[in-house]
Amino acid sequence: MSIDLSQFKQTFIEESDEGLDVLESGLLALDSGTADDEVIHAVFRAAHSIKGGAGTFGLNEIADFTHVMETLLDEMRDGRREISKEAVNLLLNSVDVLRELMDAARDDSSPDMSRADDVKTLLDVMLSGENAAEQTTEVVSDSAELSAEMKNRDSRQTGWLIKLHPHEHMLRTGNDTVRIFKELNTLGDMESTADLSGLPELLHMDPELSYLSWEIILKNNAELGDIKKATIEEIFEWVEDDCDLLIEPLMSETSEISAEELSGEFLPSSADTAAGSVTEDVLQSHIDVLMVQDDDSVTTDNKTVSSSEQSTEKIAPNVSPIQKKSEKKKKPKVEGSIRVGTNKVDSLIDMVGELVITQSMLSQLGEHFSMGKLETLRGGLAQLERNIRELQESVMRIRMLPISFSFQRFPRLVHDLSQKMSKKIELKMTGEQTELDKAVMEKIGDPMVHLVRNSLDHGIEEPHVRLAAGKDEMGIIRLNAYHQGGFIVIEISDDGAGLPRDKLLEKAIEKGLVSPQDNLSDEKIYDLIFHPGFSTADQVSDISGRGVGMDVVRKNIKDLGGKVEVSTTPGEGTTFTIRLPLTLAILDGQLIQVGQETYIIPLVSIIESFEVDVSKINSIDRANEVYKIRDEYIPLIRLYDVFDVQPETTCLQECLLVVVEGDGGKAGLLVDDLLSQQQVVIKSLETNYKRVPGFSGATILGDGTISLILDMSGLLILASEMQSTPNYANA
Amino acid sequence: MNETAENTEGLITFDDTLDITMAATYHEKLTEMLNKYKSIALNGGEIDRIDGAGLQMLAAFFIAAKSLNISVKWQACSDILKKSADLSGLTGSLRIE
Repeated sequence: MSIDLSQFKQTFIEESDEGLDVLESGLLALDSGTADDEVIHAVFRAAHSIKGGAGTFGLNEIADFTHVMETLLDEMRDGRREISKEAVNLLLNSVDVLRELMDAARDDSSPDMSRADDVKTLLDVMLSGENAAEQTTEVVSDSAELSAEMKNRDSRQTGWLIKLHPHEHMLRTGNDTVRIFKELNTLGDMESTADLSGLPELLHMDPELSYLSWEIILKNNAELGDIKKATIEEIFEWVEDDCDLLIEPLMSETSEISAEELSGEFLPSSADTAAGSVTEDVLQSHIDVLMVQDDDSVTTDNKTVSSSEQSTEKIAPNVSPIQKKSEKKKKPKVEGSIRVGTNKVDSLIDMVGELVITQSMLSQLGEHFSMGKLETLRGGLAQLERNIRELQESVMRIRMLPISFSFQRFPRLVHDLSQKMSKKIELKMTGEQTELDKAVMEKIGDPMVHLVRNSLDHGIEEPHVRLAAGKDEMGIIRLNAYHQGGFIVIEISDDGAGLPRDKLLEKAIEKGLVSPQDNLSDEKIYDLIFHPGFSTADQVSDISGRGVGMDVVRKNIKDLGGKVEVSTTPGEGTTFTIRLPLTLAILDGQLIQVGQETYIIPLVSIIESFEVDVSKINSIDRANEVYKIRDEYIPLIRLYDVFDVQPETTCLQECLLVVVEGDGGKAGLLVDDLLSQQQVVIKSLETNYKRVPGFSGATILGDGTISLILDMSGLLILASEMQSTPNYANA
Repeated sequence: MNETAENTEGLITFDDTLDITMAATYHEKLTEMLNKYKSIALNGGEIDRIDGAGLQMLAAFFIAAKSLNISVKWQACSDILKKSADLSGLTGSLRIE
């Protein structure tokens, strides 16, 4: 009997993803020296399982590659080899390679073996390291040849050709092409050509979608030096999932370069390595060379760069990893899956059982119904409602995953960036088992990365600065998550320098965001970092500040129905607190009535509500009214004006005022009546109709009518636009 | 944003920000201008923040104006507008000198 193994391949790949996470976190623990003996055993077992599974499924590239890793790990766990920083870094690179190979296996595409081969060679070199001293001279000599060859090669390459095709939604993610072009322009001489062929007519275009694509020629500049591919890729780091990107070397016409010349010449050959070995210092130099090689992407896939064309510059036919990634993305994706605990499934089955019993009871009641059984019917319906609510909760729990899935990327991020910035940083994580909806988790990842990068870059000081300030030279970044009400709270804090209050205020005054006379609380001053365009040049580095700003972080979190706040103590550190709903599918809403229409305000947006006191209204005209609440004036928004509906009354005394907040601002919404509060299932307007400013979605109420859900940020913008348009409000 | 009309020439003066947050507003205004006037002047002298969405919309506006035989000229262009258009390869499409 033969078994079709392909049905289990997806499960193997998912398990391998988890194995790779174990490998990575274990290696990071080994690197920081905090690991006990069990960690190296766990790392070895993870590699061993991946190798075994890969062999079973015929994924020989993965099996062969992991075999070399496993051998190195075996020597480390037996104590035959020291767990050195170089070895750990090489193994971390190997994990990255394995991830790429797994992605290819997932998509059933041919893996790009160039990087895998290079890293495998380095592993081989490290493994044959017993007679290092004897081979040092030979390899140093190899390195010298390598440099010469690279120099020679560089002379043929004049820069890079970048083909950028943003996906439609890219601009909406807060990523801006102009900012990207500005960054590119700092690297060399840039010339970009826009392709407008995809641009629809003005009338029919959605101004927030992206329709253009570009070809950018980025030439090396004598003063700025040769441009590394990694530097370009770093600029596109934030958008690599939101665009199709191709980065190709721009070659000057020189001579033919054969594939043989270009493949593998920068590393000791297997014959060399078989003959002997190298010291780890020399090996590290090879790793550096490999990184440069990877940057410049010279290794080709058995293709020949010929110079027969008439043009003076041409494109080498190699393909960048990002392009390959984009190509892979064009293939139909395997549907995502969730691993669910059996207890959750059991609970679901119990609920369905209860539901069937209730349904059966109601059916029987319906067959022999009389008015005397009315109370029994009511009881049955109440039971049905309870069952459905419990079933709903059980189903929602299935989508809930521990936030550790999101947290697990940070140890590597902190490890790599702290090395890059020569800072000493420890990452402490708590509350990793706190659960939230998978969809929320997927969307909160990028904003969290941005905040952690900010803490690394701007928060934690350099070791000598910390020592001078009387602090431990090791900075600490903490990630913490916990549930509070119907929300998950995520805190990202550092023990760094804190936000510079006076500098922020100075900049805000300079930019005209506040006037020098304004008496702002510290809280409001710190909140200025979330203001669009507040980022300044001196805040931008290659670690943070690229492509996406704090305003976008806040916008993304708001789009999830959450909020982000910052608190800071000068000299002691900064804490960002993110509050998110546990799920995006259901919202706690307040039903309000305006005329004959029923709208829904998300409860999270409501601060308070009360009857209108006319004496507290000040107005220049009806389009610009403010309401005084305690010591604060907030704009008054007449919803019937904004939505152009006939109100039940325009008499202010008969109206109710709902104070809401959105995008950092407050407003008072004038409504006819407050109805009930209830959980509503959100239906997308964009999917079912089109995007409508001021509304985040719609829902179907119990009586079958459709009710629109207000988007507070959009509504405040809509209202302010109307207020700035004379006569409209009184029309 | 100001909009004035003298005879058949419309003038649209952009505020300091022409980015995705303002894109919907300006999209409506620019479309309206194309419906109203045979000649339109743009004043971008105050623009100190413009992004890809803003530039793309202007490019679409120029294409639409050309197809409708409506003449469009810049009354003023800020340095940031010029630089951003140049970096984005849109100087020609936006007819910026």
